[in-house]
Amino acid sequence: MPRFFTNVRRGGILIPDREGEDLPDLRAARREALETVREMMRLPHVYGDVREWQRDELVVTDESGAAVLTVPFMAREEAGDGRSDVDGS
Amino acid sequence: MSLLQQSTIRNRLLAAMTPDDFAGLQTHLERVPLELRHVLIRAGESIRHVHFVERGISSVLAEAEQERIEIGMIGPEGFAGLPVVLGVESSPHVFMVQSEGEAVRIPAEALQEAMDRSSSLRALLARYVHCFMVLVAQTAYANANYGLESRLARWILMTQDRLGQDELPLTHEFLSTMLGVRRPGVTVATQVLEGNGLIRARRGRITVLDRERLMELADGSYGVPEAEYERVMGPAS
Repeated sequence: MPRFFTNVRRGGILIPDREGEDLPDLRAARREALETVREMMRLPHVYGDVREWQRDELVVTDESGAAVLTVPFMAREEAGDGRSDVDGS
Repeated sequence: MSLLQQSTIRNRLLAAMTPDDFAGLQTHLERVPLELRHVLIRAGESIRHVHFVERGISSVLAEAEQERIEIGMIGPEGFAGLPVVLGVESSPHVFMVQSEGEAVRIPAEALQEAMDRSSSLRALLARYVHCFMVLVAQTAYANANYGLESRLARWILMTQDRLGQDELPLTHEFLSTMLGVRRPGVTVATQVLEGNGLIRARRGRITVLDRERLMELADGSYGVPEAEYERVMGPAS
């Protein structure tokens, strides 16, 4: 299984996920990322107030370090359908 | 096989027993390794051995469907197998090795028989059960009232207490299970602690740099069970 790293972009700085997680494919990585955003929005007493998070993005990278997926917190809220942008940069 | 001598024991409860109580258990005691992620007690299964931890940590986990969350941890200050002391044969919780090491184990029946013979042994083990209940209550309090950074600080302090060293083998995946949160939450909380000079995080391990400030960050989530243990069990010998 490929390894995906779920980094957090906060205030222009990328907080690296140094360990990553083995997942079957990009779809699974996307599902994980969306589920994470949903849980962070739902549990502010655990993760901190949504206002602290709302400008953050989850940036999923592959083993080569290339970003394969970006999930902005706000976009999910606005779209409300669970879709996200795919950032190929 | 030579008998274990009380003078070589690191576990605080075994070490605190009266020589007579220890002698009464001696022929049943056996040193065993604690291997990482080994399950000492499965949920709902009859408990065969009580493990007095010598080195390392056993987590106590509550399970719900796919998820697990840690409700308590047991190191050389305690033993895994609390229901046995209370006369109960199994537990709905999972006792899993979280940090490898070593334990001294005893068959559950042998310990129960020894407790039936000795009120001082029963009293000593009951005091630890009390301390563990205080710890579990504190976990509930911390989970309800404190954010992830404070809970991570508490968890690092508790781990350091039990391992007795600054360098702690901890992966983010493991922390996310123990704290019941998603990995990116652990990634950010770890970064905040590291950015403030409280810890140094490397792949698979966390080094404590500033215990005092970790305690400040943990705030009221840490300290009550630790103080209660010292009050009830007396200072470490």
